[in-house]
Amino acid sequence: MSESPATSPAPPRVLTGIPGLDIVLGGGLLRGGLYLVEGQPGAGKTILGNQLAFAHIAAGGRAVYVTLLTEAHSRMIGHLRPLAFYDEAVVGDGLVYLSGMGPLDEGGLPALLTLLHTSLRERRATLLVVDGLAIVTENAEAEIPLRRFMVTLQSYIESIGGVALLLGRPLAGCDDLTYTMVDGVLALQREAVDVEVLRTAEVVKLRGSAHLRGRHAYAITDVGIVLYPRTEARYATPDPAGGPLAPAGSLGLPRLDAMLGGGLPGGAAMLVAGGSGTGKTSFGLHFLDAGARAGEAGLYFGFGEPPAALLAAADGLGLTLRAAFDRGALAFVW
Amino acid sequence: MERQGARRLVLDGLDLLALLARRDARLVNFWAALQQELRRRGVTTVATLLLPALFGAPSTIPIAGLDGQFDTLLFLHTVERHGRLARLVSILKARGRAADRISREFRLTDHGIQIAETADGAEAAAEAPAREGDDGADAAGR
Repeated sequence: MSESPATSPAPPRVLTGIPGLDIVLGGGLLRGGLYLVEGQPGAGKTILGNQLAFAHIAAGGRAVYVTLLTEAHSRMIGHLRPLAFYDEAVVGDGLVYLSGMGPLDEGGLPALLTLLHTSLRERRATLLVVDGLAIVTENAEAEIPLRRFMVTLQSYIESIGGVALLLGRPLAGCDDLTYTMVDGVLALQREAVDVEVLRTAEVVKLRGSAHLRGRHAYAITDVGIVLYPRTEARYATPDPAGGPLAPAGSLGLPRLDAMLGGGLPGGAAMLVAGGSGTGKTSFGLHFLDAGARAGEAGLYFGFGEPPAALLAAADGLGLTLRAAFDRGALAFVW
Repeated sequence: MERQGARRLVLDGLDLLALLARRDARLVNFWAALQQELRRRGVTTVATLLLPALFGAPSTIPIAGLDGQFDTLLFLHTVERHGRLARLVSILKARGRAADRISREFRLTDHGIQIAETADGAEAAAEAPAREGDDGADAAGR
């Protein structure tokens, strides 16, 4: 993708500001790019579009959000207001909401393009969000007008060195013209796992940038969308040095340290495997206790027992983990 | 980890993490990536894994390839001896170090884990003073 000929030294990337997404995108969206975010109703497309808009404004940019849906702006804003990124102060100034329905009904895609072009120019915006791509596609009727729409929009975006986001329902797939035209596609998916539903986001296509492949879990929280890039994809490149090991530390059990030829080297990993009730957790508690005594902060990450039960178990073993916990040298995540 | 400035991590229940990962291969890849980052940060890790066997020694780690991700492999199991259940600890692997190849009995006491000199509990509690109320395995060693 060619860069905007603008002489401004603006960085080639626009950060989305969505936790985790910039990591998946390999550092954000490229300026001059037209991106598609697709997902079923309820996937969080509108939240994502708005979150990006508010982040863009917080970073000093300006944004135009065009809806093509029947949902009234007041209703949409009502749903956004509880989210942490929503900032009433910028609405109507840095961020404007426009409805594209009127122009579209009156003059079709050319009228919509005029609206987009004019508003971007007048608002000096560098981010455009078009919510409701299906309406554009319906109005295109044939492929040629759709292609013309995309090409024209792309040229606007490129000329201002901005980014455009199109939000819509999942397309038929990679053969779809829109897929071919846009610079990147982010697919928001729902996967049923037994009775639970897992939300995943996948970068299906991204021109001009390496990205983390595969599906990454995401959640819709009170701070908006949060993506969790898969750890194994993020740190997929093996470290050739393997990381040097530090001097050994005690496991809190002198005899076990001796059995191991002198404790566990710093940075090493030990697996304690055993049947039910064999005392696996107790070995872990000793290890943390020895760390606390040596001035090394510890973290317990578990799935079952709450901290109170673990501290009671440590008390029962005569360990001083409670004291370490009280002075903040030990934390529990469960 | 970073917020805590932690140097030691206990991940209790890799078997439960495996359920979340849903595929063993994914857990192994995840662990390999995580382990590398922990090592780079100088964090020493102890992870626990529940083995399906209740008694005796299961012959496999139920997650293919997982054991290869660890420098050290400690194996705990329960054996029945004259109607008494005894816990044994063995080192199956200690990469790059000369490790002891003897299984030893251990007990969980209010003075912590007490590891005996031998598999049959002889010299149990050598690391701590003897206490009243300890069971017979302790007395046998004295």
